[in-house]
Amino acid sequence: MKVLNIISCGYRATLEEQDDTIVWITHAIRGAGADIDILLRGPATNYVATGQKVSPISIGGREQKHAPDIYGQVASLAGKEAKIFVAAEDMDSRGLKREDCLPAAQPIRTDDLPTLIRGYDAVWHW
Amino acid sequence: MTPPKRQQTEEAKVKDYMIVETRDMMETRDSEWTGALATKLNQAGECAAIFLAENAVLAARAMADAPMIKQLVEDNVPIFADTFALDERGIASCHLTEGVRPSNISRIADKLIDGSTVIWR
Amino acid sequence: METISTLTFALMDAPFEASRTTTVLRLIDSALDKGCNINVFAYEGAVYLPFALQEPHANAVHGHDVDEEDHPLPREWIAALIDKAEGKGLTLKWVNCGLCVDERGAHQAIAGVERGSPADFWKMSVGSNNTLVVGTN
Repeated sequence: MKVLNIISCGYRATLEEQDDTIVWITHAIRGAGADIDILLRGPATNYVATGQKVSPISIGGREQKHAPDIYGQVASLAGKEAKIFVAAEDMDSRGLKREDCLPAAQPIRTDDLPTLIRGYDAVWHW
Repeated sequence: MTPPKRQQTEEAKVKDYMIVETRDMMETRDSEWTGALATKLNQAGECAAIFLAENAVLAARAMADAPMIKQLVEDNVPIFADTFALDERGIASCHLTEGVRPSNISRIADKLIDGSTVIWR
Repeated sequence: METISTLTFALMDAPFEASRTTTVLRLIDSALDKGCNINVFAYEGAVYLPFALQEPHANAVHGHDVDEEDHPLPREWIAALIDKAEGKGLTLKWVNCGLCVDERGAHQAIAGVERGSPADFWKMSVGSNNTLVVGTN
């Protein structure tokens, strides 16, 4: 079964979780044998932007050891041969230049979504 | 492990989609994506419908400032509205935008059972 | 003989935080009425939906004591759905994401709730006729 995971809820509890939970579960499910790609849209398009830096946070003296590395999470998924689609219009509306993004990211316009979606057995919008 | 029904059948020529929109369209611009996707799927020869639930039914009121709903009706995208959510918000069937059909949530269950792709927003 | 469909749901929202919880539980109820077996994978905050320590409370604003208020609890709805499935000769398998449980300390779940992982979600999905993901916003 070929699955397209759509992620739009960007940076949701990523500091608390130390990662993006949907990119995380995509990794986990791929590890279980799933043939699964992702489509980033909305605020989550920014996940492919280079230069994201998060310092570990400290609250009440309790310091975090591992700040989230969302770009690295997505890049690692691409390294496992998952396709990383990114909504082109959402990149444009957020001023994301293609050259400043993860090289494996594939911008896709809304007009081309039907063709893309048709290639999947399941579409899961998280 | 038994493969799912959808893998056992040959790829259908036309796929059925139902997009469940739950958000208030006046508050959430991202709802436009729901409308755009349904329209484009239909234009591409697929069969897509929208099911309004929760706060999304607020846009189904005929007097609502919801041009997307009217456009979807013009584009012949089937639109259903959860009767529970309509009742909960005091929206009578006679006050719905023409073309929006009240429906029980069991319609979503039917779509899942028949193997349609259901996307929840 | 009619084939029984199996539907898998992934839920994310914590109890008392979003309308989606009750909408989806209504949908699951409807699917049981249609004779479906149900799998649920509770992810993130949704692992608290079957949390056993949820307690009803009185409501002074409503002028109700605890019995009169009869506060509905998600754990009770889930238990009722599990019972309903059993009564119909169907199954409702509820799997809580184990890591999500650990990070929230949500270990005390009602009877019938299992601990699992995303791999279990994948297995349930592959073994189902359809899967619906209900994400959070």
